[in-house]
Amino acid sequence: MQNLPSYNFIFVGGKENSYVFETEIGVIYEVKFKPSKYIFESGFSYSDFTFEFVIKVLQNPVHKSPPLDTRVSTTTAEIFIDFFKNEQNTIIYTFETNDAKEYARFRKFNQWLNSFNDGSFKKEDYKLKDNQTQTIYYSSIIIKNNNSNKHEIFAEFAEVMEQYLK
Amino acid sequence: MTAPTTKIQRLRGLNLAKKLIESQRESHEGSLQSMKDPNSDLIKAIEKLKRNNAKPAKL
Repeated sequence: MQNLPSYNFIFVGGKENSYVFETEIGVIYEVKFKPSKYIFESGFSYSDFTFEFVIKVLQNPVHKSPPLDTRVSTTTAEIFIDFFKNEQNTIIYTFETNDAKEYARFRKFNQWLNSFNDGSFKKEDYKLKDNQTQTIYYSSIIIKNNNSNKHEIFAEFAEVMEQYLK
Repeated sequence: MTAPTTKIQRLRGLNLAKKLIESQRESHEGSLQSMKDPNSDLIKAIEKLKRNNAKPAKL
């Protein structure tokens, strides 16, 4: 992990486990972990610990894309690690496709995760193509490596996603 | 003989991916609505964050 100081962040909580932080130029980011029981079949034991990862800009005083700020990555990593204090948690992330930059987001996410993943996290990726629009959807599932149920959870998610791939 | 994968099954993964993106958008929209409510927990947290960040650093 780079030795850049993170920004102060606050856990807001709420239904979607929200965290917020402010950059030095006043951009406010929100990071959320939204409960997503619906992803798995009802009755799947670990559904209660499945969350969608959401990161968005809430306020932006510069009114254009926020400039590159490596402290944002550092802070988001700290939040991510904080949320995984419950090692049973599972994160699902699907990359926004609205501007055709989904692959760039996917690559950036991988770089970001690799920057602080010392082996504590295990990730599996899925790539699904919509043949009608040619859009490719990238989804990742991330689990703590010491989660004793990881094989079962990965297998269940694979079953959901790979039904398309067959 | 293996049963052929039905179209409904084949779409499940793709539909889930689309739903997940839609869910992110809805979640963000919910936060933007909360930003308009001065009594929301989100606004209060941001105000607290800004107050904390405005404090001079201790030497």
